[in-house]
Amino acid sequence: MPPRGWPITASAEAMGKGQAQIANTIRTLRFHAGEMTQAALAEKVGVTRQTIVAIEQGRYSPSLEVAFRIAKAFGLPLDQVFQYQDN
Amino acid sequence: MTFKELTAATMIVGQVIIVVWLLQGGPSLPGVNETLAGTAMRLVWAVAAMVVWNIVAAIIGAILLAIMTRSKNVDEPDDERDRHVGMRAMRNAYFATAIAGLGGLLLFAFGFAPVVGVYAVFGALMLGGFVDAASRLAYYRLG
Repeated sequence: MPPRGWPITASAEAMGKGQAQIANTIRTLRFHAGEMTQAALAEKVGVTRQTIVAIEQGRYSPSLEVAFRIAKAFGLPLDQVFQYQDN
Repeated sequence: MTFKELTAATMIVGQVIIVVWLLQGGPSLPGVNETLAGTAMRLVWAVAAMVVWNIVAAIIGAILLAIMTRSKNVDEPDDERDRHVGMRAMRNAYFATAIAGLGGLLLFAFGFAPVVGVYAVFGALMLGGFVDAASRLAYYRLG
């Protein structure tokens, strides 16, 4: 809860609601990682293959924990895997 | 289709079959008659049939899916997305059951026959199950 008088922006109000605004480059990164399969990535990250499919297609935004684990699987910082699209 | 989607679809099919079966008279099994207790017993048998259907359909579905996908492990352990989908589906089911349950209570309040109320309670439970399964299917398919 912001302090009294603190301006609440539209984006803050909408946080956690509406369309996901997080893009990712997992498909490209998998390709550059020797065409790593979705199943192999899922195994490394500790989620199901369906979850990797849903994240790649932008149908599911993962938790921070899983996002970091995906980035670690590619040996990259988080912001090179996930990008917040500020509309 | 994944095993979890198949399970949800199976539940929906099972519920449709049970409802059609009940509309056609339901089971003629021990304890079933036209009294209030007999009607409740009919619905208890229907719930038992639903449970058996879900178990058998899940086993057969898992075997068929394993053959189709050539995978030994079709039912993967739940991850965070599964839990997220489950929570959202359960929330929807809770609202549907609560509203339908209230409807059943209102039937009693407005003086409908208790037998009608028993069917309303059963209907509320079935509706909750249906909404849960349909929600899971939708969230898995559409995100």
